[in-house]
Amino acid sequence: MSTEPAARPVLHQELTLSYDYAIGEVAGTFFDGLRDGKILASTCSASDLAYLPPRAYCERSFEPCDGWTEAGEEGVIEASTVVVRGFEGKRPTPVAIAFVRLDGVDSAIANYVDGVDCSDIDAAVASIAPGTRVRVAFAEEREGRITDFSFELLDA
Amino acid sequence: MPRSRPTVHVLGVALADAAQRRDDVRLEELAYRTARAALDDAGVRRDELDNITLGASDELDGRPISSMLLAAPSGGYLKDEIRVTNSGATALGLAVARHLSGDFGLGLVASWCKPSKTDVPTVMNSRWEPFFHRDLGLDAAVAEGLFAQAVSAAHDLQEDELHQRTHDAMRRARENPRAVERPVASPEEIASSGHVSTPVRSRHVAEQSDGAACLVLASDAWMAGHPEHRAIATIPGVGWSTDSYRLDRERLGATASATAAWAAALRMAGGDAPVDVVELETPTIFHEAALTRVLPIGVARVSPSGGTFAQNPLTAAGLVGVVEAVLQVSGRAGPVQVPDVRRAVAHSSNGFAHQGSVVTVVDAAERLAA
Repeated sequence: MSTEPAARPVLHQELTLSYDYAIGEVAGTFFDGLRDGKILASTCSASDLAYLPPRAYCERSFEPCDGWTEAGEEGVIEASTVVVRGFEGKRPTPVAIAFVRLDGVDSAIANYVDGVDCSDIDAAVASIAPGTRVRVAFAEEREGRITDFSFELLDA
Repeated sequence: MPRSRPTVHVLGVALADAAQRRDDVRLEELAYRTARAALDDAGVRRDELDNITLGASDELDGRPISSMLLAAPSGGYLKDEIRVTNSGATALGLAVARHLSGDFGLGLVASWCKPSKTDVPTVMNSRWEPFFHRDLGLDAAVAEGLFAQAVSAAHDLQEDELHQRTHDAMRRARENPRAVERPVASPEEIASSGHVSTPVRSRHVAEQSDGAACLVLASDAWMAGHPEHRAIATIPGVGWSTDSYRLDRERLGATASATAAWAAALRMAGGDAPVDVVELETPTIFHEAALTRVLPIGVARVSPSGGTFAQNPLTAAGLVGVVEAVLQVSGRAGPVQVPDVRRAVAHSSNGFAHQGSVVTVVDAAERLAA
């Protein structure tokens, strides 16, 4: 069995880098839509698939996505988790996160689920189980980022 | 088993002493000592090598293009060296391809990782694409929670099984002299550990550790020209596959990259020899529970080394599994040796929520003469 070797001092350094990510045409159109209170999915006429998050190309047909459609305001949870520890996110834990397939779209997009009482983890997990219907809730002030919206339970 | 196709031979292997935190060595020392130990195990000198293949992560190494510093301590000075910024098992797949190409004879494949040196959740958050996921703060723990939920539903996994599997993996690791020394938690302790990201509890997670792994590989032609050397194992097949980046329920629950990589590796290996041992890279116990259901492992013993519950040096974990497989087929696994192992398979996962897989088939060297 390996044992912990004697430690030596460490040299502590912090590296700070900043990046300017070009949003590009597809994400740019999506974020413009968020500012207008719309969630826009890119579409591929070759495969008839609608993508959220929007993609520039279709994974199935490998053709460029060539259209846009407005996603429904409601959808169904595909996958979910209540994050309790070790989270670098924007919100304090515990927090509910779900990948939701909005009506009229063929893939799932992630965001927080608001209105979930995470004081009881088991109940929180049950309330966001896959198959649960949710609605989109837009922030009052939007800045063209993914955090411009979140999901709410329909019965919240 | 008569062999009509070229293969790749393993002459020697080495693992660094694994520990939760290796503050006694800098990364350069860790890489050098492991590479040198593998060469010594193989009975070859560095100047005999004609190629080096590395698998490492710049973010976790804390230095852009880390290989520029670490190629030399891995034996790469003025050698044909290439690196993948991916799992060490991916580097092994590339190294196998190089040796099968006919252009290379004797090489070393190396991988290392010291996750203790940095803030891993922040590194993992930075690995998400920046527009739709990173800004939410998603990290590896969130991805594992989503994966665990999906495979639990796909395979009707029950908590009792998961707690028992975790306990069993810890117990196997405890027997492995190459593992990080840790206490074995009881199923009850595992069940009462807090959630990280539901349904994953803290004890379901394979703790990270610092480590490194190296193998010395040789081609058929090199072996024919050096009859004084004997292989300790052969690698007749490797396969890899990458699934979609999307994390919807279908993708999460399918573990499709693992089955695709397994099929590719076994097809390349040929024959229908039974698999005696599988070493699985399982960031959480949910991975083990799912993989043992979707992979056709038959009666093979699962991760006798303790797998990632023995040591989990993230980027290098997959190559550690390959070394453990080589030790099994060469009868050198020590207290965790499974009797009469002739074929072992090492599985490695990479990406968020098991997006990618690499599978390596390792045969006992005597299969060549059988």
